[in-house]
Amino acid sequence: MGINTLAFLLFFVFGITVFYLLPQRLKWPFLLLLSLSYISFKDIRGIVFIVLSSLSVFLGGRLFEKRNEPKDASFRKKILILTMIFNLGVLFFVKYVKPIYGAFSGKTPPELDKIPFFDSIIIPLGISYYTLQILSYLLDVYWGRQKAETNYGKLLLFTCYFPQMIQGPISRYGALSAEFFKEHRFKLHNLKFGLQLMLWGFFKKMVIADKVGPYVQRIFFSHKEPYGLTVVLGLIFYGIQLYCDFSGGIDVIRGVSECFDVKLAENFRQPYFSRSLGEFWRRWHITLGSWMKDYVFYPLSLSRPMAKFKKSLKKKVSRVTVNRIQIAICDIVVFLLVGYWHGAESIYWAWGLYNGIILAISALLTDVYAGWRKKLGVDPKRKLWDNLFIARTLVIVTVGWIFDCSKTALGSLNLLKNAFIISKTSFEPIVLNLVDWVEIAELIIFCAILFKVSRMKERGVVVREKIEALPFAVQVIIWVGMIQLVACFGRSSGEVGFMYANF
Amino acid sequence: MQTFKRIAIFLLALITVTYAFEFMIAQPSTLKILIKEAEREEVNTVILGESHAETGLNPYALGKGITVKGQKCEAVSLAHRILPVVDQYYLLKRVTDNNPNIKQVFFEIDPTYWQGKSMYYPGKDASAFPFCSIPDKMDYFKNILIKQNYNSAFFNYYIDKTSLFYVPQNIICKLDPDYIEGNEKAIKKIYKTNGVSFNYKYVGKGYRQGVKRSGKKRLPKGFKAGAVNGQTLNGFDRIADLCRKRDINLVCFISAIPVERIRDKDENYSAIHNYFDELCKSKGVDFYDFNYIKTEYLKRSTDYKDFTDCDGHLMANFSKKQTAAFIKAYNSKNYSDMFYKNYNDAVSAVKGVKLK
Repeated sequence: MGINTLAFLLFFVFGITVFYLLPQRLKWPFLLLLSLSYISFKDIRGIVFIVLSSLSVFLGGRLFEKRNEPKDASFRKKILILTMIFNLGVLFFVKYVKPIYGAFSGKTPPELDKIPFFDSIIIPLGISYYTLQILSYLLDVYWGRQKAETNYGKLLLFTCYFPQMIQGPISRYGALSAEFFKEHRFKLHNLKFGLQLMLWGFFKKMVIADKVGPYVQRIFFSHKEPYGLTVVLGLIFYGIQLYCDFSGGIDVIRGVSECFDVKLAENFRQPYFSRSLGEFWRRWHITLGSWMKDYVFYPLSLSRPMAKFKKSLKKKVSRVTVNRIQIAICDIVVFLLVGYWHGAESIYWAWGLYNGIILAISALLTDVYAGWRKKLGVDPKRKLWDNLFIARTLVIVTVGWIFDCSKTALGSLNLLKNAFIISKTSFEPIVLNLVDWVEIAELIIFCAILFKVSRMKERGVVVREKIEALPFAVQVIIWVGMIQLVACFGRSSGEVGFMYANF
Repeated sequence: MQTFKRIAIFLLALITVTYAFEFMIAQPSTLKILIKEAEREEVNTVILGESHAETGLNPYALGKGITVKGQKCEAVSLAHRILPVVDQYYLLKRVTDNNPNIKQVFFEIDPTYWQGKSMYYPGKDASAFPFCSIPDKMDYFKNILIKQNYNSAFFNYYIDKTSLFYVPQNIICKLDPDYIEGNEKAIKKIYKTNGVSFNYKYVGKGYRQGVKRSGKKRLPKGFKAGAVNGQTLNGFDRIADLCRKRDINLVCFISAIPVERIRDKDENYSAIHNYFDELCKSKGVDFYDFNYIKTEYLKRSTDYKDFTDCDGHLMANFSKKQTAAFIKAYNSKNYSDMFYKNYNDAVSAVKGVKLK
């Protein structure tokens, strides 16, 4: 049941109605029931995975609190490792065994589906997201940052809260439990703001992403290989599609949750306005980035092998350089893991390596860059330089999308090579058949609306509150207009799934 | 009170604008009129399919060459461009509920509609939902609407590059007494509102005749049997079951398409033929593939003069020939003799064709 389907909307209306009719003490158990029903719509077996995973971290957490003496350190560590192996093992098994076997055997996904063993493997809804969530809980309890939950039902709700099962965001127990278990009273304001956020998400998803999608498909996945400006245009289209699809989906999810008076973490903060690649990844898929920072980057930086390595380096280079090498290594590891989290296919590894290496080089050359800036008289506060940095980041990010536009890493590199053969540019995949420049013009207008709103948000304007302050008649015109905009221009045919739901 | 008043005003504004937009943007319905035609007592044959069927089989000519249970064939084409197969089931159910004399269905298969995700086109007069009985509406809601994006389910209109251009004609057409009363002559006026009149002429009984070429290009679709849409297949199963239960003779066919398309390896036409041949056999249904017909029964050529476009909508003259070949196959004791058995024979038989 996709979140843009009528089925989901009916499910949501039913959920909201019952939720606010129930007494306070029954609200969170109802949310749990609602979430489990949502999962069972896809595949009831998914519940077994969720129950087992959440139970393992629940028991792990309880043990950490019971055995909290210094003499228990080794025992606690063993429990931590076992629980992590169990959860990551399940994730690895359901998500990666098939593609890895496929890569070694040369079999295509449809061929693999015919093998009885692979045929029986199901990928539980949201496993990539909830596995990271429960591991963060486990590690937080282990490190003493979080008190262990004593009620298993509450932890189960944290694991399977239905709006975030499709594509995140990846929440932390401390923040989300405070939202779940607070007093929920019906406030029209919450419902209104939630619905408005959903509408904005639908605009991004249905009006922009789903309209750009067919062009991307035709450019990169039709029979003809693209060259020159066709590749460039395809990459720009893909960047727009991915952003609108993913952030639009997250807006819908956050809007749904807001209607239940549960605020979810922000996952995007106008990433295309970033001045550097590092900043971009702090604004894009924020919750995954911060998870990686807290549970991979810092632990790795502070680990014993890293300390040993740094010690050995200190004899040869300065302390500052050692720290930068450490950051560079951790960046590469983090991005390889992020790539791996997306999937086992070579394109994800290559994508991770691309981003990791650029960030590593940036870290290592910090002084060189500073020198150049000084020589060139670059003042980052000046608008011209600011825009140049944004443009540079856009180029780096857009080139990086090439790994999503092919089925293999080698294919991506081939595409990159094709991009330089300008003479073979052909716009046939774009203008052929039913689609024409009128649709492109529409897209430009809608992207301009998106840009304008993003720019306002970037300047700290809360758009919904600004509209709320307008006279009622104007508000009606704006919101009815927005609903009609999605109705008239949103993709009309069938349900188009969300790209990040595949991860 | 103030809050409820505001909510009511908002909803009222939304509903009013929605209805106004639907009236202005959604295409006037030819289906509404054709259903009325098909439910006439004397009609005993219905043609189903999408645009290829609309232009491919002439109901008037069928009446001269075919008998249905000893009666002259009186056919109406309910075929409609971009009408999903599952919607065709609901249409057939509706007309056979109201007209038990229907004992023959000619179902045209356009493989393009069988691939990938199921499609739904709001505002394009391509849904059977408005014409279903209450129980069928519930069934339609459960099987189709609920899986659509909420947008398609609530708003029966959509703006594409041509829809705004047709708004004045839509309004004029919908206010026309012929349209309101559901008279067949309104279809000619409807054709002016949906762009069909540029290349086609409405003849009657749901049949449109290709009169002018448009020369649109078309990318090969590359048929894969494994990618057949489940909902479409289910629609076909339901049509076959309904026909069996109601003692209706079902005949399936594929209308001829340009030979160049058949020849294009990327189309994978051999897989198309084999798939539908097997499917029809499994249902015990006759199947005529006019892309495999022997040249002595239907002479095909390598140029596109027989078609209005590369997609394969027939010009009037070729449609007449195809209908004649259809009648011959229908009346033949062993129709399979009229068709080639394999892809290579079917393609190489056409004069001037070299296999790629």
